[in-house]
Amino acid sequence: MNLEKIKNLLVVLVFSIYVLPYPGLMPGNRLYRLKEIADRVSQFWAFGNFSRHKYELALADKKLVEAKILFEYQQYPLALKALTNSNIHFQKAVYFLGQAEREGKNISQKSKNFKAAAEKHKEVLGKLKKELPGEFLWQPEKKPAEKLEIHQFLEEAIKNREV
Amino acid sequence: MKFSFLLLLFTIFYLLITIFSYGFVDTNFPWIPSKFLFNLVHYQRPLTTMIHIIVVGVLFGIYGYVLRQVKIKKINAHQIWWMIFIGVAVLLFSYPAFSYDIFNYIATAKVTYFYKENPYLVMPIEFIGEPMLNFMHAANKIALYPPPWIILTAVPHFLGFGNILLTVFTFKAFVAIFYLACAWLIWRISGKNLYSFTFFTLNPLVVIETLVSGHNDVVMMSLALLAFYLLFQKKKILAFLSLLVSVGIKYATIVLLPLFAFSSRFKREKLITLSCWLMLVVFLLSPLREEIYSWYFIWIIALSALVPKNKLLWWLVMGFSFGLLLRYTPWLYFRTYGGLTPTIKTLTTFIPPVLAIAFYFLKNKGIFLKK
Repeated sequence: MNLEKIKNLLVVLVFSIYVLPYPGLMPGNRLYRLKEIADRVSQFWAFGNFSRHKYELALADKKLVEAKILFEYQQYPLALKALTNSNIHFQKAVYFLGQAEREGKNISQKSKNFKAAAEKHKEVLGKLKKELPGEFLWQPEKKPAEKLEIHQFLEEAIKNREV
Repeated sequence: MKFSFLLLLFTIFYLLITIFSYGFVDTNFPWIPSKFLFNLVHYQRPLTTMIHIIVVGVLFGIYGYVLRQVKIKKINAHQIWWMIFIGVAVLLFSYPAFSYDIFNYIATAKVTYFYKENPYLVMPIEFIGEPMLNFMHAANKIALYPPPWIILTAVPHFLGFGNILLTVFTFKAFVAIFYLACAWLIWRISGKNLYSFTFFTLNPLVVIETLVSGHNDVVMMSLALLAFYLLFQKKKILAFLSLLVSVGIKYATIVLLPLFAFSSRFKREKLITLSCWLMLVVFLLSPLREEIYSWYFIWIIALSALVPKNKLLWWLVMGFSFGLLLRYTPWLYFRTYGGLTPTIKTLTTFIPPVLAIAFYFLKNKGIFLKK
């Protein structure tokens, strides 16, 4: 086995150590709105680019786990909404890390951690893509049916995590 | 002994402490002023330990002598103030020999005001390349103190102009100001009782942990004492606010809040005595969080100075002050926190106060009668 393959294997091993959080209250729960408000308020507590990067990454992780669980329970609209939110927070995490670098802060360690997070996200999204249907016709009781392009969402999310 | 001679000895001794403190400069600190002192402290451990024990002994000797002179009215307030100002002026320039806490204060202030990050979310260790990481301890901790303390540290941080050595002295000067505030408040609350005043200001534990190591406990206690002062002036709301800010420095005085709420039920002396005992309980419970640190006892010394007639507290304070300063000796000798060090630390901390209390009770029973 050559050196390059060994390096890649080590990178994969290190990246898979990144642990996603327990999500807590899930979308659909009556108290979920309170959790969203609490998350919004705590945004003001996370002042500074490092703090904000950590905050956005934490939310990206949480929303991804919410999406994963919702997909497992076939709650596709809520899952896609959670996934979209995860994408937004992930991009914000990228932005604030860049801002920290522009400020002159050394982001080497944070970048490594962020890459590990991105790999973990891609791993989860990849698994979901294998397990879920490409598209799904969602038929709510009192609303018209809606075609959900699940694989398209997942591919966009994976592309979003190319750092 | 003539006071001028005492003052000269006192000044020389404090100067020697200041010089000796520079032997404790960390290996990675950007400035090591004396290789000789560095080698003495780091490589001549038995000698360093002996010097430390002598320093503690002499400090307590001077303290005991001055207290006695104050009691028999041979020293006046003006003279004590001179001793305090000399102590502050000389020891301000000592290196924080026995604790790295001041570097944590500096680092937290830097995280907040230089890096403009939330110190409760970002640790100093996350700033790769930050020079302070070479010599500070506990860089992998978020801010330990509440926001009021962080806000106050803006003053010494900005006055340090980004220079680590200057910043160390601005932080020490900042703490020294609160030490003087504590002194003034004790003077006022005690009704200009010189004994109370001296009891606190020249206590060796207070002097070493405040003027040498630069701990922020006097900041918390000065605000707590201000709360007492305002309470006795019947300004209850301001007293509460002052106490809340005190809690916002280091949390410990939170146990005094219920006492303040029911303060009208207690006479002044009873209130202060109860406060002493409550703070002592907090002090003794500190191993639940981490360990007993000698500077925590400043909380009890500041309050017990106001009740000098309480002999039990007096002996307790003397015993603990002595024992807690000797707590450093095993580390100075072994230069490790493991092995025998924790056991010896516990013994040196508790044997003196236990002996002191035993002596107090035996004296009370008339076993040690005055001729």
